[in-house]
Amino acid sequence: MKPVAVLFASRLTMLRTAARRSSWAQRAVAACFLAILALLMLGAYAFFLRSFRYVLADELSGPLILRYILEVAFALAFFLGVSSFVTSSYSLIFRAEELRVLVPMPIEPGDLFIYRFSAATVLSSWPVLLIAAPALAALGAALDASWDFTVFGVALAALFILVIAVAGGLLSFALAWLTKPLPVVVRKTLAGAAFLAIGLALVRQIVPRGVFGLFNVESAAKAAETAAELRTMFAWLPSHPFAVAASPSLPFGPEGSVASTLALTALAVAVGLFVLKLIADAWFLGLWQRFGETGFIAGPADKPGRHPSRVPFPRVFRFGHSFLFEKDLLTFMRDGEAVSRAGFILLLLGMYLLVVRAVSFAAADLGEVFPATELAALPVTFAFAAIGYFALTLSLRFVFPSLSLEGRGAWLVWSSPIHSHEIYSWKFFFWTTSLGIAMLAAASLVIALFAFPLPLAAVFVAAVLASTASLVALTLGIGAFAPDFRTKDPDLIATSPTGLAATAAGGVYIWVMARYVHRAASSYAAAGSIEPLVLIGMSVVSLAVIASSWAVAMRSMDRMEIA
Amino acid sequence: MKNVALELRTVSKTFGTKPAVAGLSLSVGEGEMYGLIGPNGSGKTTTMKIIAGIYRPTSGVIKVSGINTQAMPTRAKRALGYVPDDPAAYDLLTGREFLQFVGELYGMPRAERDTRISALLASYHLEPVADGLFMHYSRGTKQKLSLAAALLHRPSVLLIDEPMVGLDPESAKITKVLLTDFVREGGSVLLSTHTLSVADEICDRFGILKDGRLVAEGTHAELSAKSGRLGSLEEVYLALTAGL
Repeated sequence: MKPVAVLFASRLTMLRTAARRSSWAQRAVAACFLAILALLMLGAYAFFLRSFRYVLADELSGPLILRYILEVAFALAFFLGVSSFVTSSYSLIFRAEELRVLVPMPIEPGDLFIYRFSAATVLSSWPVLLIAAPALAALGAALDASWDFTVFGVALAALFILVIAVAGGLLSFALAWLTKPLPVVVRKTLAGAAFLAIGLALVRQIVPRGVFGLFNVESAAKAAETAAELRTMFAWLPSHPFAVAASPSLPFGPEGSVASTLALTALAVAVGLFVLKLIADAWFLGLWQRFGETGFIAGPADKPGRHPSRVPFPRVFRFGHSFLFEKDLLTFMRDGEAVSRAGFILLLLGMYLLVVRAVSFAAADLGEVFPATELAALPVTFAFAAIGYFALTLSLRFVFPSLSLEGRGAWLVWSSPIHSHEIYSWKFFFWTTSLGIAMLAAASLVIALFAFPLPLAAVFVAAVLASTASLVALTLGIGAFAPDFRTKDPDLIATSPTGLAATAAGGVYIWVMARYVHRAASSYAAAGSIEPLVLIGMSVVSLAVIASSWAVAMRSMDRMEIA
Repeated sequence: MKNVALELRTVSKTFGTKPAVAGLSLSVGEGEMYGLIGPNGSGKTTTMKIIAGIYRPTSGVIKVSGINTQAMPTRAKRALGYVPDDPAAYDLLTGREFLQFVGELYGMPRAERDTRISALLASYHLEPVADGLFMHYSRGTKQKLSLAAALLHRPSVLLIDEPMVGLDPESAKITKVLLTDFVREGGSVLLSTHTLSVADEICDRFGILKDGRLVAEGTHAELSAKSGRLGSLEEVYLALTAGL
């Protein structure tokens, strides 16, 4: 057996062993996460199916809108997939810990790369699973396609995942090569900024202002014109052949044969994989070694300019025990992986908010379909729900594991004369401040994008800040209730049974707050004022969450033992 | 008898139903170095962690410089310095920042803190590496920085779990000198180790722990008499623990 086959076989064996030996609690958690994934896919499917059936009622504009939705869905999935691949490639490929054991063995660097590349491929396939695949399934249902469409759809989605992976792989290699002399933080900031700029440009290109006007078609000639315009908008995207191949039966059909387009795409994937293997054989080992170096070389203490970071700790927070805040800030800012993950999540939030804005502007003339108050309230609610959802995601990934991640180094603080309540309080303050700033920026973006009137803007900001503090209290409190000091992997901690409980509790809280925000926006749209009961409700719910989480956390901190 | 700096009275710790430490009583005098020795799983590290405030004792009383660690934990901890068996700390702080952070934890005035850090870094020849990140250090360097951190605030009682693991011969010698100087100046050390030759060289008294219980205690000579065997500490230890 070839070494690369041995690696994949051993990975499968490990997965089988893990599945066999897992406890009931672990199986229940895995089942819950699969159920959440299935629910999200089902939700996306229902959304697409309803949209497709609604638009297909109009014979002229229906197929055009349907094609447009498909093009947007595939384009977004492609962009998010490639971004996800590139973002995770640093830890999954170029700094993979597992390779420390495998590199000294006689295995070709290209094989090692392909092995890790496959992991990145699986992990970056989520946009296809959550966007493109449900869209394909909904299309089949809306067009009453026969069973062979299902087989075709699965093959199409698989090929699309590979296209994303090859594009992500080539881009990752190029970025790794170009940015290898740069510090991790600079490298990741540059990549994040590039993706943000590309994302903004993409959204502007595929959801231009007044795009719905394109679909006011009253004749076949106008439909053909719109079809040509749509083709110009999307033809340059690698996702375009997939959107076309998915719907060949639509009136303004594909350019050329679907079979030949797909065959060419498959060939491009094969060539891409071959090129990646060649590149990896030549350069992967060198890059992996380069990224494994610490960049720090001990030298004489008195050498001038050698120690740029010699500013005494604490640099800024010098009152009371506020240095605990600075310690958390410093260790977070130096964690390239954490910063890039947070950046990526915020990038997704920004993208989502832009899409909500674009869709709500485009839908502004749908007054015949929706009541005016709903047209005004829904974007506000969706924007708030998005901020809440992403605040919860960030809380789960960073706040919830933060006490557990003190881990093997926790002896230092726990054996020091600082009360454990104070350790908790500073952590709460740090995360509330950090997340609060990020979410305030997101709220400001929403207010600017949607031009909220002042009273609504004030309520929106208050709701966002209250939610941030409540989610931090909730996730930090649950994290303190059941810490896990054995692992250094925050993802593992976040996907524990208590992580799942925090997800559920946070989800319910955001749902309740989103209902209040919806009520506030509706009442403002209807009467020009906001019901005081809404504000009281928001405050009571948030204070209850913060107070109860705090009480649980304080009891837990009193009893906490570091393993 | 010298004044007692550290006292454990019938201390027990149970994990679930499993007793890790069972009714342990011992005391360490001022200016004394006490070696806690015993086989793996005998409860040495658990005892250290209970004294350091990392584990809560199931029962019993611990006093550091006369201060009850359960009643007044913060005051008691001010008098303690602790070096764990695994010298892991914050990976993303530099060695110097780590020491400065520890100084802040113990509320040291900054000028005194920085002077003391310079002296401790110099004694271990750590100055050239002090501005690298903790995660990039070798185990030995981490161990030396942890020792420096424990000594930084001039504690009266030092708890050290396996002090020599990972140290090169020169650093091991420096550590022995630092510890004996610390004791000579009136400090007390509770040291847990498997390296019996080191313990024999620097400790005044020993306690042998087995299954969480103190099975023998005394100076080398007293333990020899108890075992009926003359020879190195290793031979005495093996004689005392055989058949237990």
